[in-house]
Amino acid sequence: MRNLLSAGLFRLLRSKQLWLTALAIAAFMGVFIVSTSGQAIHYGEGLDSRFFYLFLLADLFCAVFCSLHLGQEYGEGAIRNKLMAGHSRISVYLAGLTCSFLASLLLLFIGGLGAIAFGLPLIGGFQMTESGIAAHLACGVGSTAVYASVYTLLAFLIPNRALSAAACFLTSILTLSFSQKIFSGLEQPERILSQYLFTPEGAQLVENGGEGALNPAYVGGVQRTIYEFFNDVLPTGQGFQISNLSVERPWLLLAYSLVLVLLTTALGLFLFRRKDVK
Amino acid sequence: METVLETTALCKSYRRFKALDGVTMRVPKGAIYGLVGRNGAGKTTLIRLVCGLQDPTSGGYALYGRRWGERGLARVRRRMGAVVETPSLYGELTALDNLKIQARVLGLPDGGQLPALLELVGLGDTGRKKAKNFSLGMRQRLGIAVALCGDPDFLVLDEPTNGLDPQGIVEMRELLLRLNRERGITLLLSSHILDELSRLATCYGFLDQGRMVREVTAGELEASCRKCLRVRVTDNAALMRVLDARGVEYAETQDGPVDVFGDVELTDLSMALLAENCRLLSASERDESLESYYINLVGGGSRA
Repeated sequence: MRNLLSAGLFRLLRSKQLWLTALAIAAFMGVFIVSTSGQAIHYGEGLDSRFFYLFLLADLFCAVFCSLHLGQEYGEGAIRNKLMAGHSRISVYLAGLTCSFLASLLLLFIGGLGAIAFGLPLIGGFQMTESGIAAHLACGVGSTAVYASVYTLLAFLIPNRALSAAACFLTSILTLSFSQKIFSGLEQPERILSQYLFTPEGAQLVENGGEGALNPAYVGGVQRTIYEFFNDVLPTGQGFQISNLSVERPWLLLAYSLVLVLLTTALGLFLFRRKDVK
Repeated sequence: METVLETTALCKSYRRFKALDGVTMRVPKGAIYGLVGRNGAGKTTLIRLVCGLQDPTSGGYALYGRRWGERGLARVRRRMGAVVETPSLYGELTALDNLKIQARVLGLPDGGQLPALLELVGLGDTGRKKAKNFSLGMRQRLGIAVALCGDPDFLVLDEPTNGLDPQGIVEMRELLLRLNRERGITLLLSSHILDELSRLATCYGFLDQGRMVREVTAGELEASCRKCLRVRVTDNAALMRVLDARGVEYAETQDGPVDVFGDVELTDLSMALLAENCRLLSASERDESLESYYINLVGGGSRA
């Protein structure tokens, strides 16, 4: 497998796709920070309030990059060279997975550099404690590992590069949308202390007094437990928590990420070993 | 004689479709083995199995004595190079970078021997040109260079002249002959272009509908390719009546003349044709080509 990794890294570093994607992420983070810096300063927020949005982006750029990069292996037949050279299916798959993960980390790193380059002069430094930053970063890396694992699975099982990219992109969008709905639901407060009433005369602020009125959009009971479970398990849910600086149980999130990586890799290996390569 | 590749009752099915049906064949060391068959005969399927891209449904094969499923087969594969269907190249990399990647896959140093390999296949001057900008012939040659990276002594090429222009075909033929004669590399070539294969192969395997119909050496093929008399007359029907009456075997060709096998006295034939109001226009001796041998083998064209 060492030989395959060496070849994979050789190709990765010469990949225009990688460097263009890295540039795009760094530029996006720069634009995002510049456009929201005023708001961050107004509310007294630090760089961390913007920096960790990088891990929401991670889903999309992993989906696009992994599917195209690994899809090229299939499309140009390079996967055949590796199998014909005597490498096992397990080695080929794990080498592909490792390269996808390393590429994703590199993209995160460059995106982070872009965020810091624009954010430090405009917003200032991080306000979280070092342990908090470390916990959120670790969870971010964990969720990125899950993305790499899932999109490697799809890329290895779908030989057609265009179909593979479409499947990865669709999976990314669907999981992001699903997690966004769950996260929004969990963010709803149980009681509303004040609210705006819209009448023909205009908007009126109404104080509910005392403990406030019950929020009809609040998610409670069993449904809340289910929501919390998906919010913690799904890497996109973790991404929302990380970007909102609301990770409370980092070890649990990392454990879920590890389990997902192991499950998707095991499934990928099982299916790839049985696949007829053309 | 040492055998490089041996298959035993090799079968491969895709759901209900049987692509290979009990193929047994043997590739001797040092040979140029021509695997002949029409489109869909199973040539590429056979090559995919032997190269380890797919598993057989039943039966097996052995590479340098190592049977499929044995532990040592992966190591023995290092002695083999292959180009299956289209060359497996990274389009965004140069020729040299493609070789460097393959060298790394094989665990070899990507040093000075790679430019020499490019020179061997005639791509020494490609410089920084990306593989995606190569012509088809250049891509084919780069594919062979990649297959030669590990200094194999067995090369499997699936339709290596596919899509090449006449000059490209000649250059490819010369390269393959050089590899076999100068480096002692055993070649397994699949093709449906029989004329080209007949200039290269030292032995043949004829595949049809997933079955190995026959294996022959070039010498055996030459011996069994029959001489015939190609006769052109004004009335083919009359000629065929005359030949049928004498119990002589013959075969109509697509463009008019009739090939007559066996000994025929020309004067006697001419007089018999005159009696049928048929004139003999020309008669020439011919050897049976690989093409007609193949067509007769798998069916179609001959009447006895």
